[in-house]
Amino acid sequence: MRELLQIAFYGAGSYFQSNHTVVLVLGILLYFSVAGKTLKPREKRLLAVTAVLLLLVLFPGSAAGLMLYQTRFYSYHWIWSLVPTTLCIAWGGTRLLWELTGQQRRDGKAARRLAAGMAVLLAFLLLTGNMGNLRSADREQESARQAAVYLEQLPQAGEALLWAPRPVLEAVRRHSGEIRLLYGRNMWEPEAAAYAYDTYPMEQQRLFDWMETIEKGDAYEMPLGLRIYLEDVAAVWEDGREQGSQVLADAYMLQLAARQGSRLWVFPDQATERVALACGQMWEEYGLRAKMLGEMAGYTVWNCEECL
Amino acid sequence: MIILLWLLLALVPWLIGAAVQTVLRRKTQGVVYMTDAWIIGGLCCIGLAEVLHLAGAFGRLPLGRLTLLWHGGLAALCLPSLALVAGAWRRHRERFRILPQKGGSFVLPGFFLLMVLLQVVYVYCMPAITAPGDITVETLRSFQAADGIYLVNPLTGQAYTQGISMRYRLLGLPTLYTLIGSGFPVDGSVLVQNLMPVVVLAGAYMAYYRIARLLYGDDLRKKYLLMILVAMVFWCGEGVIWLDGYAALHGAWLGTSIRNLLLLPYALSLGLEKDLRRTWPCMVLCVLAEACICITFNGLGMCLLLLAVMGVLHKVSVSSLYRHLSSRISERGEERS
Repeated sequence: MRELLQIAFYGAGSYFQSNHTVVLVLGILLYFSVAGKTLKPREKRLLAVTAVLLLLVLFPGSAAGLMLYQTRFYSYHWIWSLVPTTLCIAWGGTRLLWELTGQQRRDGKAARRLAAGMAVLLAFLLLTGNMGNLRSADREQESARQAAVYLEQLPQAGEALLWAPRPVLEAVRRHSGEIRLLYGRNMWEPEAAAYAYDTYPMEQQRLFDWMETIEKGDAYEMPLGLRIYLEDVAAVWEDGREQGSQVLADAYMLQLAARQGSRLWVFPDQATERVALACGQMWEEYGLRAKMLGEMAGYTVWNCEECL
Repeated sequence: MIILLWLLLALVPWLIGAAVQTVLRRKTQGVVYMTDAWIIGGLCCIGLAEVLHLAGAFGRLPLGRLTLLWHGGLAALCLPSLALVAGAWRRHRERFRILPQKGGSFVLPGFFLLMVLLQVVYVYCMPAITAPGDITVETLRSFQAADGIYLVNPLTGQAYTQGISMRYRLLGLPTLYTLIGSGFPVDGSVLVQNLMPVVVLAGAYMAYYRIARLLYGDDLRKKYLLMILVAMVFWCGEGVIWLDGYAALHGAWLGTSIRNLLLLPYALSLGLEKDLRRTWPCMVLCVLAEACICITFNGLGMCLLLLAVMGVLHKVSVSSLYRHLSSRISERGEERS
């Protein structure tokens, strides 16, 4: 409860940062309660409900109670759904526009005044609102989608578990339910992991770490967990063999993926040389052969044959 | 086929809802509004899908059989509804209001329709975004691939190792989308992320229009001005997931979006009615629909809370103490002036 109270105490400020239209709601409530305007019973009820709900979400004690009520599955900001901010702004805006632009006066200029008033209100909304350019499909997503289409046509796709970089895994499950993955979005997205109790074994977490290093290239520092794992379990980086150790480590990770049941692999095409070296090492060390099936949209597809 | 799907999405909920309203208002011979009827019918469809979802999740019925039951269930609801509505239409045609009453200029309604049309085009044609934590499309795909409800983990396609939370298992929204898409050659992700948001957006405007009607009666200009402002708020508040604008323009297929855009405004409009005793069946529908689409484990959902707050405020406003206090305050004000 103390934690909830803390979140509720600081949450209001954080919510305000994301949505300044609360100021408009407060302004409307204040104006209509102080200005002494005559309101219809329904309008009064609407204002009363908005005011009470606003107080409930602003006051930390009641906000904590509301958070407890809505379950911890949702964060603090969701309790603001209760406050009819959109309706309050729309109603208050309508009422104010009607009065301030003199719509009762039939002098032929009412429409112009209303248009000007709406432009001012729109400016207020633009200033206080929160607009983001969210709907732009980036190149990475498009490549991943193309990869998903390509993978769906492979005969191996229906049988083997797929191991691929994040964007491809995301796109594949959105594109088709037939392809099974070694691990899914719940590996890296806590919100997506909240639906099931499933967890991943340590080996699969290390495979995910390794794929991240492959995807992000040399600029990305290898996670400490993966490094320790490779030193302890795979026994690489011994004797100071820095040059050959990466190939050994890569080969170990590839055979680990195969042992975990994944024999269909997708890698970024900039890592092709590194993967080819690792596949050669894997054949020598572990007797597993992998070959490239094809390439598309910045990715290469590999199949590990001896893992059947 | 897509046009047929659009037609069915518009007509079936309206027909079921109109029949429900005809029955509920048979004594008062009240007007059956198109917007109210569509929302009520939509809630009934959510209920039907939830029943089938539970049968699939706990009775292990395959998806093929659920689809048959869905079509049968809809037919069983629609045929009596059609007879009921046709009978009522013949006797009292004036009870059914499809379009707003005449009067006033076309400028504001036209401007509002233009804004809505822009939003519809934006929602339907732009590439979908990934809402954090949303796995609806993956879930729909997994239902189709596994031919059953929650047989495999939607994110991997593999069987669950540790299981799934009971509350999540009860949510029937992915099943509703799967059943709506069954029988139509429409891609799952297009259905969920492009087509259903248009339907939800339309439902949201219907709920807000209902409030506008309650507040302004037959004053078309004020009603459409309010609707235009609602549309403007949607455009200007689409940057963060918990805002109504985001719900309307980017993630309208989510359960929380349906709750925030449709159920809460509709529940609010029910709470604003004069006689709350007449609206309780619709309130119950609202609360149940929310339980079918949102996780409401500790509590019973936002709609119930909103209705409870409105009920308490209503009780307070009609209490003798409140009346006494307000009359004293107004008397003092008059004395001072």
